[in-house]
Amino acid sequence: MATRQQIEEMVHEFNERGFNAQDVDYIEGRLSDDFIEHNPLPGLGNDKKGALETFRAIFAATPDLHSEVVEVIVSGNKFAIRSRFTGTDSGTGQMPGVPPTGKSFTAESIDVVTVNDAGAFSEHYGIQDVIGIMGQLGLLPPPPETTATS
Amino acid sequence: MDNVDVVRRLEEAYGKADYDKVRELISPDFVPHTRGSEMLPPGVEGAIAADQAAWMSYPDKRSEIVDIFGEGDRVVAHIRMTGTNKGGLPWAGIPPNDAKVDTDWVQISRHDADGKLVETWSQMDVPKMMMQLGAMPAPGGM
Repeated sequence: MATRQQIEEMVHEFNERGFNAQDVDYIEGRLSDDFIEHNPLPGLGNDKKGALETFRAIFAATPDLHSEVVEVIVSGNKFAIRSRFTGTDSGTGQMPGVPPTGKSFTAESIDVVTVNDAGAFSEHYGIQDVIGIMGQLGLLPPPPETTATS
Repeated sequence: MDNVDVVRRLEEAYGKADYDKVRELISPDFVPHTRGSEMLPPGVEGAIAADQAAWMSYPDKRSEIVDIFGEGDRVVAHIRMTGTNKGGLPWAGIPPNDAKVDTDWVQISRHDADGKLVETWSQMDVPKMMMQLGAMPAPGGM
C-alpha cells in the first residue's frame, strides 16, 4: 500500500501534470483500467473512458485552467483533496448550448480518490462549487420569485 | 471518542433535531466555509439554524453518511440527504412543491483537542438539488 508521503507526491504530480499541463495521456496512465468515476459530466459514463472524456471536456471549456492543492487528508488507501481552481471561460463553454462568456472564475473543489495496490487511482468522487462558478460567469438563472413578480 | 465518531454523533443529533447534543459537539465559535453560511448567525447557532431551515423545507428529511475517514484533526464525510419539499426554500425563492430531493455533500471538518468541530469546508451538489426542485433546467439534450 502507498505510504502517506507517496500519496502526497502523487497528488501534487497529478495536479501539475494532469490539471495544470492538461496531459490526458499522463492521466490515462494514472487511472486503473477498472477506474470508477462517480461524478462524470452529464451524459458521460462512470468508467475510465467517461473519466477521460470528462477531463478533455473540462480542459476544452477552460484552456487556462489552473489548480492549486490547498490540503490533502489521507486515511489508508483513500485521500481527500481540497483544491482551488482558477480559469477563464474562453473555450467551448461551461454548459451545453451556452457560449463562452470570456469571464474568469475562482472556485474550490473537494475530491476523494482511492488508490489500488498497484498505486493507480481506482475510484473518484468530488463536488465543485458549480454555483459559485456560474455566479461569477453571470450564468445563474434568476430565482423563481423574480420571474413570478414581474 | 475519536473525531470520526464526533461527526457520526453530530449527524445523529441533526437527525433527531437534538440541538443540546449539537452544542456539545460543535465549538461555540465554529466557523463554516460554506456557500450561504454568511446568511446565518455566527458560531454553532448558525449550524443549528441551517438544520432547522432544512427541517422546515423537508419535514421528512433523512441523512446518511456514505463515506467517512479522518487524519489528525481533520475528518472527511460524504453525506447524502433525501427529503420532500413540503415547506419550500424561502432563501432561494422556491415554494413548497412536493418535489423529492436526493442530494449529497462532502465536508471536511477541523476538530479541537476535545474533538469539537471548530471549522468546516463543504461542497454540496446544489445544481442537482435545484434541478430536482424544478428551480433550474436540466442540462439541455442530455
